[in-house]
This record gives sequence, C-alpha cells and structure tokens, in this order.
Amino acid sequence: MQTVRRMDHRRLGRLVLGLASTALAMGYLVMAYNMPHGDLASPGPGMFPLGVGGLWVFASVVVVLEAILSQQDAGDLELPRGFERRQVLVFMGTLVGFIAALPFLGFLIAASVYAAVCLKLLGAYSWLRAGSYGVAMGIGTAFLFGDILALPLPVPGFLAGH
Amino acid sequence: MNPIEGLMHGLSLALSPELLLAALIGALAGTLIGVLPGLGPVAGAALILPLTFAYDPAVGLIMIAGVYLGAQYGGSTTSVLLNIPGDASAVVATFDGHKMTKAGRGGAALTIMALGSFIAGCIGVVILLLTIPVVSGVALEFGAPEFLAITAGGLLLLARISGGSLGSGLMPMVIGMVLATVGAEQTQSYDRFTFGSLDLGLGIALAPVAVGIYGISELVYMLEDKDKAKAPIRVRLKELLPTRRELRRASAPWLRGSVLGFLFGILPGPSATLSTFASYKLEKSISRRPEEFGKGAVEGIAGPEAANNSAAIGSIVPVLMLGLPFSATLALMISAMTVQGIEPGPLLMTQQPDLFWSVVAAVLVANFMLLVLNLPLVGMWVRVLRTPIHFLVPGIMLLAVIGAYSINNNFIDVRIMLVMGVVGYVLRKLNFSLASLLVGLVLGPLVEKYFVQSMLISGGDVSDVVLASPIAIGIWLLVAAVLVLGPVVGLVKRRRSSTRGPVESPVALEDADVR
Repeated sequence: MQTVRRMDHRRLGRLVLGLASTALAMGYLVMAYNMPHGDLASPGPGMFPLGVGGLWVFASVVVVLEAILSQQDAGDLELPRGFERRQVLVFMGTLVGFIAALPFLGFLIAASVYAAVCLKLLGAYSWLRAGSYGVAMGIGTAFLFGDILALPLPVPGFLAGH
Repeated sequence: MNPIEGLMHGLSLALSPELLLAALIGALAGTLIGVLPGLGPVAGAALILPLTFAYDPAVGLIMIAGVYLGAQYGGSTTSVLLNIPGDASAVVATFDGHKMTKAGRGGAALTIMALGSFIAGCIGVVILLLTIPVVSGVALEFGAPEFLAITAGGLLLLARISGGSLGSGLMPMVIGMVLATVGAEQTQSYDRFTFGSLDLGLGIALAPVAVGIYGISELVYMLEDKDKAKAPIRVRLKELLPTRRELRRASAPWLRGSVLGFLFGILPGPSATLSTFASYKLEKSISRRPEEFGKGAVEGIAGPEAANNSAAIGSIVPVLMLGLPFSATLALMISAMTVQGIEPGPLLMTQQPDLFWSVVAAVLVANFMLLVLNLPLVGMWVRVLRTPIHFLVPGIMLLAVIGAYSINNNFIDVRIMLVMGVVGYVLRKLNFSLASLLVGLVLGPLVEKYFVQSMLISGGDVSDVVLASPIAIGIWLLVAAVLVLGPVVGLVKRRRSSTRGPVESPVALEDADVR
C-alpha cells in the first residue's frame, strides 16, 4: 500500500490499466477454454485464443509488476485543464453525437450538423456562419466521396428501405 | 527476370497514366498529411487505405507507398519551418533545420532536405535491387514452420525492442492479437468473441483501429496542446536555392545517411527514427566543425534526412520479401495486400511480378515527384500549416468516418474507430507503444495460420516444428538470444550508469514509437 501511495500518476494509471487488463484477460481465457480447441495434432478454433489469452494474462501481470517495482515509466499524466479540457470535451461529445446520429440522419445531414456544431463550439463563429460552413463541408465531402469517388455513404434511416 | 530487367519492367508499368496518377496523389496526400497538424503518417495512410480497395492492387499499394514517403517529407517540413516535428523521425530535423530557418536559410534547408531524400530514395532502390536475389533465394526455402518462426518470433522481438519497458510493447501487441481473434475463424468459420453480433462476425478491420488509435488520439493531443497557435515562417521561392558551399557540405552526408538508413530500415523497431539519430551522431562525430551542430549545420540536416528516407525504403524489403511489417504504416500495406487477395511473402515476386516490380519502380517515381513538386509548392504547404484547428477537426473526422464506414458499409467499424480512439489516447498517455498494437492485429492471423499448418504437418509434435530446418532453428535461437540477452545488457547498462551518474538520452524511444 505504501508503494501505491508514493506512485506518480503515470505508474498509478499503468497499475489500474494492468489490473483491469488482467481481469479482461481472465474472462477472455475462460471464453477461449469453452470453445472447441481440439489437440495439437488437429488444432480447433479455440486453440490459438487459449495461447493468446495466456499471453495476455502474462503481459498484464508484467505491466502490474512494472508499475509497482520499476521507475522506467514514471512521470506525470498532464491531463488538459481549463479551456483545453473544454475543447477536448466538445470534440469527444460532438463526435459521439455524430456517430450516434449517423444511422438515423444519414451522412449528408449528420455531417453538416456535426461540422456546424464543431465550428461553432471550437471556433468563434456565429451560428449562421458556422452553419453555412458546416453545410458546405457536408455537401462537399458527400459530393467528393459519394458522387465522384463512388464510395458508399450512410443513408438516412427513414430512406434505408426505399 | 533479373533485378535490372525487373526494374525496367516496373518502370514501364509505373509510368502508365493510372499508376503515375496514383503515385502523384499518394505523394501529395502524404506531404499534406505530414504537414497537417493532427494527422500522422499512420492515420493518414489508414484514411487512404479504404479508398484504395476500389482500385487495382498496384494502385492501392503505390498510393500507400507514396503517402509513406510523402509524409516523411512533410513531417520534416514542419520541423524546419515551425520547429514542430510532424512525426518522430522528423525530430532530428528540428536540431539544425529550424536554426537554419531562423538564420534566413530555411528555403535552403528545405531544398537540401528534398535533394537528400531524393538521392537517398535512389540509393535505397539500388540497394534494394542488390538485396532482392539474396533475400528471395532464402525466402523461397520458407515453409509453414519457418513462417511461424518469423511471424511469432518477430512479434516477440518487436514487443521487446519497440522501446520503453517490456510491458509497454508486449501488452498492446497482445491486445492487437486479441482483436484479431474476433470474428469467424479461418478454417472452420467458427464465430469467436462476437457475442452474437453478425457485424462482428466479419472481424475487426485494421483501418478503423489505426485511424482511432492514431488519428483520434492525435486530434485530442492537438486540442489539449497550449502552444498550438504557432505561425510558420514564410519562405520565398528564390530563397530555396542553397549556396555551392552548402551543397558541397551536404553531399557526403547524403551518401552516408542513405547507406546507414537502409541498414536500419531492414531491422525491426522504429528504424526510420533511430536512423536519423544514428546519422546525426555519425555526422557530428566525423565533422571538422562539430561545434556548429545544433546551430544550423548543413550536415545535421542532410545526413539524417537521407537516412530517414532510405530507412523507409529499406523497411519495404521485409514487407515485400517476407510479408513482415516492422512498422504501423507497413502493417497497413500488408492489410491492403490481403484485402485484395494477395499473399505477401517470398512468392510475391514470382506469382505477381507486375505488382512487385511496379511497386518498387513507383517508389522511385514517387521520390522524383516529391522533389519536383514539393519545392515549388512550399508556399502552399506554409498556407496549409495556417489552417485553423476548428476546420481541421471536423474535416479530418468526416474523412475518418467515410473511410471507416466504406470498408464493409457497416456502422460497427465507425463505432470501433471511436472506441479505439479512446483506447489509443489512454495508451499514449500511459506510455504504451501504439505501433505494437497494429502489428499484433496484422500478424496475429498469420501466426495462427502458420501455427495450425505447422501442427497439422508435424502431427502435433512441437519439437518437429521448432527444429524443422536450419532457418527455423536459426530464427528461434536469434529470438531467444535477444529475449534473454536484452534484459541482461539492460541490467549491466543500468549498473554502469548508476555508478557513473545519469546519462543524457537524445530521445525517448517510446515517444518515437507513438507518433
């Protein structure tokens, strides 16, 4: 416990990640064990994941031990604060919203709204200007990739059956 | 077909309008990616990757090779003009390149860099031609046990020497292999780790993972950077000409850097980055004016830039000959081949000679394009550097979403990209190697394939697989030696440094690997 208390933020982070990874690796290993794994002469689909799972447990334990015993990865985490934190949260929030809206609104509408909101919240534009630029970006990318390069783009959910 | 005939044949193919256009687009897109903040070469190549699936394999591979070379050049441009390296291999270019810019010689530095990259590219291709008969002769002796040794052993070696601690390379590599086991299994089509989702049955594609861990995490890093509003110094066209004295001082470092870089390129690990530091150290140690290094020495930019480019070409050798990528961008190249139904490896040259030689020749063509196009376009690259971040972020994300969705016309890839973005950010913050994750994802299925084949051939006898041939024994011995000797050498070094006091290190390797 004394060791953990003295840890810097990065080593503490690596310790937490290592422990979480160990738990996930155990779950993966159990799932792999329940697959048909055959024998060495005729390996089944579960054989390779069994080996990978074992290696995952080993790697996770190595990370935990390194976090406790070694100074090699010591350091501060330097998480964003103030304005920078707001920018990061805006970026992640708008991105999650964009990806969630994509199946319902389709690429053209979702991309235009996403670009407009990003420009408004990350830049310093009025809604009118951000909206105009956003629509231009949405239409421009949809035209370039959908029409010229003929790549498949998500269509709005309400049009998908038509 | 001997190498010279092969190159001539490749040039005749690469100079066709379609492949010429692919090289041009790749080189320009690569430079743009290298110059643009927020997009490293890996994320950039990953964005291009899905767009290439609609075209011929040669077009796709040439575009990715062009992006790879262009991004190296673009990354160094920001080093010289802004003192901000576009990627880890461009860090050394800041030492003297930016000092030259401050002294009003930025244009000359860019030209020396571009000429050096071109010369290194040509020398790299010549050495590549010389190595092809040797490597392909050995590679033809490879069967399943030898491939198992080189893929599994290569993964273990990469995890050990990719920089940082053992866990920093090993854990992301295993996570990559774990992701590779998701989906229908190759031989029996048994669904693994899909949790009943039909979408996951297709497996996890490389491009969304690469765009997520590199692209999204890089954008977050850019947004949280307090010094992001740095204005580049303007360079006029007439300032691009170096003086005769500068050219004379650059010529020998170009040649030395080219050979050194190629040798580094064929080794596993962050070879392009290591080669630039090795070249810088070499030039400084043999220079008659070592005191000028770090203050704008021409040799300090000429040698490392040549090494950087030559290492990029050297690292294509294991990809084309063995199907073994030692870096994240090259892992994307392997992915482009497998998606197109091409088996990378020693038989590539005999089974797909047109593809093989056109890629080799296109490297040369892309290098020439970078030289001819990029210097006159330097004004445009400076303007690109001034793109406001609030335009970059939605622009890059729109491209990323299109790229991820178009792989399988499926939203699951877009969601995987988002999740991997968070994973990449956390791993970067905690000093883990991102390249190991991608290489694990690419090589994982190959390791499984060769493991199953080897076991079926040997009837389940592991010793028969390990001792299958002198090549297999040699590879396993080499892997064992590096795995065992690595920690011992590290321990001895730590003991020595603790008795001598702290030693200054020019760069953290883990940083080099992340970008």
